[in-house]
Amino acid sequence: MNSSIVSTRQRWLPLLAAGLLLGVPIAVGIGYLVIGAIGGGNVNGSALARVLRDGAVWRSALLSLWIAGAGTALALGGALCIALVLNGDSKMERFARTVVALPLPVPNVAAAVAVLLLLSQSGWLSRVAAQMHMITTPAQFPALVLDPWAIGVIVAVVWKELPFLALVALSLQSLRGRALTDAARTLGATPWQAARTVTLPQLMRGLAPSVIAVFVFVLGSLELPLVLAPSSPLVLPMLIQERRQALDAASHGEAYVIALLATALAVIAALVHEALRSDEA
Amino acid sequence: MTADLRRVFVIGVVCAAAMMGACSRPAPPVTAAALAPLPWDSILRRAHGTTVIWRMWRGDPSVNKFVDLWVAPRVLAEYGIVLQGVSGQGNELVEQLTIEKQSGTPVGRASLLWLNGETFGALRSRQLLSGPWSQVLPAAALVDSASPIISRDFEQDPGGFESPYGTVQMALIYDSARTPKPPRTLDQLTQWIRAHPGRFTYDQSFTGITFLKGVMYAQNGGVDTFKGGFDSTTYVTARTRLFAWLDSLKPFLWRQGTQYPADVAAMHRLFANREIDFSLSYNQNEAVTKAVQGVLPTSSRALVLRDGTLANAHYLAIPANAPNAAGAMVVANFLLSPAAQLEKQRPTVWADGTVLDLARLPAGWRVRFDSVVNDPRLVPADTLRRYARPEVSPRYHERLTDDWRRMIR
Repeated sequence: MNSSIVSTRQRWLPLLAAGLLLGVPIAVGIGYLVIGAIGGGNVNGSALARVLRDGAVWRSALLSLWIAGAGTALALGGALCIALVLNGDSKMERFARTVVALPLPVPNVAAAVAVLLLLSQSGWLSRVAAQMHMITTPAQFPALVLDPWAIGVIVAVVWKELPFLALVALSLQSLRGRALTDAARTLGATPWQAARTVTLPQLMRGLAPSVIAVFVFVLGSLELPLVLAPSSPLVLPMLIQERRQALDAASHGEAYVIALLATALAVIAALVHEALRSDEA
Repeated sequence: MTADLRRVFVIGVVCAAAMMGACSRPAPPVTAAALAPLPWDSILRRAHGTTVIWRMWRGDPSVNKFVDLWVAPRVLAEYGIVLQGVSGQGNELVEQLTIEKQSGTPVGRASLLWLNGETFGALRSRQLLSGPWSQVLPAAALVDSASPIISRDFEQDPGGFESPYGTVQMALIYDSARTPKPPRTLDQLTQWIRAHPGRFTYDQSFTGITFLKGVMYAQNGGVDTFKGGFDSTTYVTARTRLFAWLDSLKPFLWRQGTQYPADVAAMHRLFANREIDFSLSYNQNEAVTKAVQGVLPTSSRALVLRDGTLANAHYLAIPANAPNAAGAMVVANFLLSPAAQLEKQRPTVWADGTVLDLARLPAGWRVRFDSVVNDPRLVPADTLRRYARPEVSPRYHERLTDDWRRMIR
């Protein structure tokens, strides 16, 4: 009897510890946001009502979703291509996989500055274009940073996140082995059919948690947009920062409400993932 | 009410930490106001062998270098004071000192603060500063007390609660090689912008809004219209005129006015890379300092519009709970000394304007100041003085920032 108590305790203790370590900080953070959101409500109606009526907030949310969505999708596409093409054992392929992983340790701020130096209207590409007499003034070069479509941010996101997803995809490949793909080929599938019907679905299922993580991370990240994003609309993290630092104290409550909105978007992304997974099961 | 809840939570944490840390509560320190009547020698004696923690803006490497590598070794050698510059400005100062007061902490951390404008107003109205003390500093006799820029801090009377440290003035930066005949008035600037589409913009942070505020003064009868506290009717009339001007210029701005650079650093980058032809600075000397550092082209120069440009002073204050008010007073006095004011003004150091009246200095110092001030690359001192306009109620800046974000950006 004693031993069963011990084993129950042994089972519950790690769970409890994990719950405390992971759950409590999140709960405290969200609690702090909620208190802050309600606290700003004493001027001009509640902060929540002001935020919901504020077109700038919704434009910001759309821009953030666009950047996170497009950036994650492109990074995923690239990662899948790499996993399909570079999964062999030749020296060349191993070398190529190392090169793909290179941007991983580069800090986000450095990546942002690199993209700025490359893509701005006075950047390297623009200067090359000027050397080739394709343009004569910086303004003739297309606006790729601080631009309304946030192309510069998306390029930086893809550059930073593609290696991460590619590494996950490649390790999935090596874990699962080629047995299923080879079986499909033996049964007469063309390489493309085998990739499309066997390898890709397997990879997608394994990659889903990482894809959601990247999407949520990009949604909340500030460093890349600070350097590269448009000033109108602002991405959500920048809008939160602007309202929190505003001189007018009434804006501070709005900052907390917008932070809650951003948190909700992240939670929805995680729930979508859970729903898809349970559908498969 | 929930703001109170949050405060109670913070106070609880602070109290718990305090109880765990020490059982006996330290005695309240001697305030700057209490020290002020004492002879200066006695203040010097009390300051010897102490540490002064100075909360300041740490955002500019040249300022940090001046404080850490020039001021700190000198106050240590001359007065036996260990000076530590730590980060903290604006609202941060207000929040920190408010929490310390509410939690009943008799002794705070910082002895000296670098501030001006609304930070000073907020701290003083909450009785978080000690004073008056600044008038007893020996070097205070040299201050240019007749200057409207130094004697009023955003229309507030410093009242001996803050000691002037430096002055700055808003300027446009242009490249004298690229734009040999720059516009000198607001009308000329307007024509220039129309004649050079895509080559002008302003940033969306503090400096850009300050530039707009200067334009707003000029369009509405000058700074006198805005003196005497915030007036909503005056503001709305002035804003309407300013925003009509901005709307008419929008198609001629960089990116047709659909995007704005984040801050002055972004402005400088666009200017140095020839994407735009003017940058902005709330320091009349920055064109030359940044050119010396290689950030801007060597032919960069500053200009002040003849319609007037904003100028303000920044100050040093001592918190009511400062652990070392004597040391802070000695450091504040050192920073007012001709030696420190001159070093600070050198274009290779910081290029921050002096608060001293050069006529009150001994002849030797005057010559040394002249050699710095009369650098032909700088805007002449009498030009700066003629076109300098004081800051008004900070509320104008606040409202303009908000409205610009909502209606123009």
